[in-house]
Amino acid sequence: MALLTGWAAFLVSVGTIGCIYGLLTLGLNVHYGYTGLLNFGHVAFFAAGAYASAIVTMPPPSEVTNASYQIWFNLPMPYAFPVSLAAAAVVGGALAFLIGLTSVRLGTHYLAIATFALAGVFSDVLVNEAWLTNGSFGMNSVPKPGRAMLSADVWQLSYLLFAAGSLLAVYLLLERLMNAPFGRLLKGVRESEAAAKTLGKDTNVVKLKSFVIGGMVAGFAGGVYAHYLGSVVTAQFIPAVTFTVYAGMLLGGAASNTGAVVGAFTVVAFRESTRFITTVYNWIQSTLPDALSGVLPTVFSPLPNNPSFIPSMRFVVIGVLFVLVIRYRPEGLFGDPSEIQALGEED
Amino acid sequence: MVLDNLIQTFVFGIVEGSVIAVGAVGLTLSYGVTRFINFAYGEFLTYGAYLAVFIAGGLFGVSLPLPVAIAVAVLLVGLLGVAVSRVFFEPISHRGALPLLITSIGVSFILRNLLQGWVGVDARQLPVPLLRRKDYFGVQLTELEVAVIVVGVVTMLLVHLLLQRTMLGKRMRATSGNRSLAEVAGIDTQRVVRQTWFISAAAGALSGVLYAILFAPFRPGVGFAYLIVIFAATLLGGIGRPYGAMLGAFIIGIAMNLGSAYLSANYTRAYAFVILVAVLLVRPEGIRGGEF
Amino acid sequence: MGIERRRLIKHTGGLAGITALAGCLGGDGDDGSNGDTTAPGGGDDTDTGGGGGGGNNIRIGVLLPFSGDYGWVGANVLPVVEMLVEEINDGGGIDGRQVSIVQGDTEASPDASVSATNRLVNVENVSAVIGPTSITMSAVIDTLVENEVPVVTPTAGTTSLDDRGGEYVFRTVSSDSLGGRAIARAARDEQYNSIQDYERMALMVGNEEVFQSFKEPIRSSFEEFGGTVTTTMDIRTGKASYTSEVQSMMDSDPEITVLVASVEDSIKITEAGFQAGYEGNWFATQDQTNQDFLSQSDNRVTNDMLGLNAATYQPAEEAGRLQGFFDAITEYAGWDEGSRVFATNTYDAMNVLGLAMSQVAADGDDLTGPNVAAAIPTVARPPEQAVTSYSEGASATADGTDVDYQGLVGPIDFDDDGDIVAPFSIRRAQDGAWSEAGRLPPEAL
Repeated sequence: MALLTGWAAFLVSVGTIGCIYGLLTLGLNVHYGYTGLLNFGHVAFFAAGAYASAIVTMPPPSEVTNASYQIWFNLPMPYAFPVSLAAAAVVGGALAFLIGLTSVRLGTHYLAIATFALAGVFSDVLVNEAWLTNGSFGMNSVPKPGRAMLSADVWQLSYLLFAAGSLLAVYLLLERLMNAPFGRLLKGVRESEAAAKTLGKDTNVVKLKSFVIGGMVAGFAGGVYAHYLGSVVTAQFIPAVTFTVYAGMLLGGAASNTGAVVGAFTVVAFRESTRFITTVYNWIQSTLPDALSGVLPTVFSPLPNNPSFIPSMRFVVIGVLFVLVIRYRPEGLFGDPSEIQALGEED
Repeated sequence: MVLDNLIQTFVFGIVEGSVIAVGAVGLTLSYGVTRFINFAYGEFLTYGAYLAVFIAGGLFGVSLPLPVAIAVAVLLVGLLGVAVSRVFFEPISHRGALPLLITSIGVSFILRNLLQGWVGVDARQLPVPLLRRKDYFGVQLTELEVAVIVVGVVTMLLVHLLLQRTMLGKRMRATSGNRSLAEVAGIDTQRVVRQTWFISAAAGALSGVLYAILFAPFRPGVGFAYLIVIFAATLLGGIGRPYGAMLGAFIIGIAMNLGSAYLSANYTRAYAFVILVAVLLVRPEGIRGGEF
Repeated sequence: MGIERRRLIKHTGGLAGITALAGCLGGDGDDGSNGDTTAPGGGDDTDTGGGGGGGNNIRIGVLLPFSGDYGWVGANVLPVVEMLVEEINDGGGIDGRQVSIVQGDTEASPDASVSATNRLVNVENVSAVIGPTSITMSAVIDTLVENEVPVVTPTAGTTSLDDRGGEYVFRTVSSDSLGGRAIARAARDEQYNSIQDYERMALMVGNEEVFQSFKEPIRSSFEEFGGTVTTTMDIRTGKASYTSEVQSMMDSDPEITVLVASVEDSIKITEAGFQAGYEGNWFATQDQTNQDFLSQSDNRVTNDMLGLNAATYQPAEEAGRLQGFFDAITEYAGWDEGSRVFATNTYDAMNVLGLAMSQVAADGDDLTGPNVAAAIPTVARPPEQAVTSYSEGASATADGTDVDYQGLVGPIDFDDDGDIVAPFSIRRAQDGAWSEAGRLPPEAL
């Protein structure tokens, strides 16, 4: 018996994506919210995790259409699932370590640009090194754990529960970590590097640890994503992902894990809901009496008629969100204004 | 033959370096007085190229000759820069670099997607003639490529004269060096900031037009995609240092072309960043220290 | 704009309907998914029997890019599908059930295509799919086949389908391996290109599936026909400049360069060749053999350039069927011309699919994926009565006659891999227009 039809099925998939973005936002929040590290290359850790999961579990190239990858492990599902997610987190963390080694000691602007640029280089590698990533064709046979045993709907629901459980677990873990001495150390570095140094702390090491933790969370999110979609393709990992995550974090409130999760869900819900603008338009149009049917087309006729109009406006709204939140409510929905004060300061 | 190829590739690097230099100088000038890196800067390139296409193509009723259209586009984008500064950045200019920087990301999303929603994602081209390369002292270039170098060099000379010989330049340097001191000295720093935004955005637009001349066709994402190349040049030269940015631009342009020709053509952008990261590791303040 | 909006409105005339439908059909939600573990039964039909009249529609998914750079593909295909569905429904539907269309927008991006496919298969429970394109084939093909959904694609030439189809996947467009072979043959032989017998060929191929699919067929066929491939280059799509790539191509000194890339990259590459003084010729695939490419390019660059295109199928042209279709679709969809890319392929795909369903119904079987898929080659292959449209064929199948559908692009006789053969036309650009330089019948390959 099917559990999910129409809107319910849609909401389940939006919810799952929301959980994945929630994880991404939690990871970024460790960097930016708690440590003040302006990481503009978050999508690279997400991609690294997704590819790690794909490589660990993909079947041999001989069984896959258009395969050119040469490294695969084909671990059997569902037992490989935890291994794959662990690999995703480790690879995400390892990439964060590498990028962090070169970048964390740089000042705000240099760090922002270095992470942005290195994420760009990483995406070039993903596109070009087909022996590892299958190039722009993507890895499209990533197994979905438990899918063989469950019906489509039950699997969708189960995966949503799993994603939500993962989000909760990571949330609780980070809450605990951030309230522990280590969390206070991160905030100390954020607020005054000089003070942290006088206390005998190597701030670069602290920053690097923060970078790796956030990278692991993002990598883990990548693993959850890969096994959900069953498909990992370079075109999914564009800079817009990083900035969508930023939008969620800023909206929810930097340095607030609750805010990160709420913000991520809000942004994902907004993004998905804009897919229905034409549907809503047509529905309104079809319910209007004939006499009024000319009204809407007249109102909207000055708008450009190209298929990218609505997708573009989606990002305009995200941009406006950045501007408004920063200007009028820098602490976001759940943040603590005093923590944000510290974020705005330059060394 | 091998040497000829090397020299030729080197000169292509200088051509592209000219495009980058114009953009990097504009970016670094605005950093000098606003003290934040503007992620919306790439959109000035895009708007410059698109406006030039539209004005030359008669979208606004009249179709102007290309050089006039380019000049008008550059001026309009300069004004756009001032408007962007007044609407988005001045109200929060007292809040430090981070809010400004994040706001600039929002602004880049707004500008880019408004354009894309309006004109669509179709590729566009400037109405420039297609030319065969000619021989200049053993190097093959089209007249347009020569023109790009000339425009780049002239722009840099103008920036040099602006900074060294004009009152605005002196005020800019003063504001950049120490804003509150400049204010005490009676400089209207807000005015200086706006004038700098105009120059910076106009330079971005000119860079976008030069890019469009060399690398047509292009799409609305063109400026954002090229932004990191300009960042690389800016940082390489030491942020906020116009002469460093010029030097950085040519190093980046040459590195990208040599790398594409001799290593792998699939990693063009990456060569710029590898150099950048290497320099940051050794010398985080960039290759050229000192103010202005 | 009027047309676009009208179509959308007509289409979503019942978004409510679709949702309600999904509700009624709840019963078969796990039918497809269980298909691979349990015996494929007739659950579909019996379950929906209780669903009530409105929920009894047969749904056909159209899985194509409707937005983004390749939005034109969906725009060319959908009206043809709609026109034929209207014909089917006007004739009383299939097995007394009306046919409805569900759109799935792949956005020409793999991840969007994966979600669109999952929605069509798992939520909308479509009985069959028209689409997808080569761009997203790898991302969705496994899902479709695992769920036993019959697929007839008018748009995917990718060689990855060459030895995969025949069971669930069929196509009414020539494989790129034939297209690639046609390019090699036409370049090699003056009688097909009207210029010269080319001996030295360079090959520049974009690094995406839709382009890579041509690479191996062109390379190996050209060598088989006695030519020399001077260089085979994979190029990164969407770069600012291809100066280095063109330089390496020219260093290998070819007489002709086959360019398998997007229109935008092709403009950059051919112009870079012109600037650098490239003396050889260019050969392009279907992607660039259109007016759009020529109008964005300088005639000095494109003069004498060769391009590959599908040729019209002579019997369909002589019998006036082609013109009849063009007239019908231009009126139905408000197009300027009927000969849009993939329009005739879609006509054949949808006719074959409709006939297969009516064949299953006539046999008294349930409209399950396996049954419909099995009927597809039957209705398209000889012998028995040749038919050229759904209405003609449906009445024949109802009488128990085995039919052989003859299409607009060819006789549509699927081979064991679900592929067809059709003739190719070689075009030559001159002063901003394409004209036919030669014609390659399938036998010439």
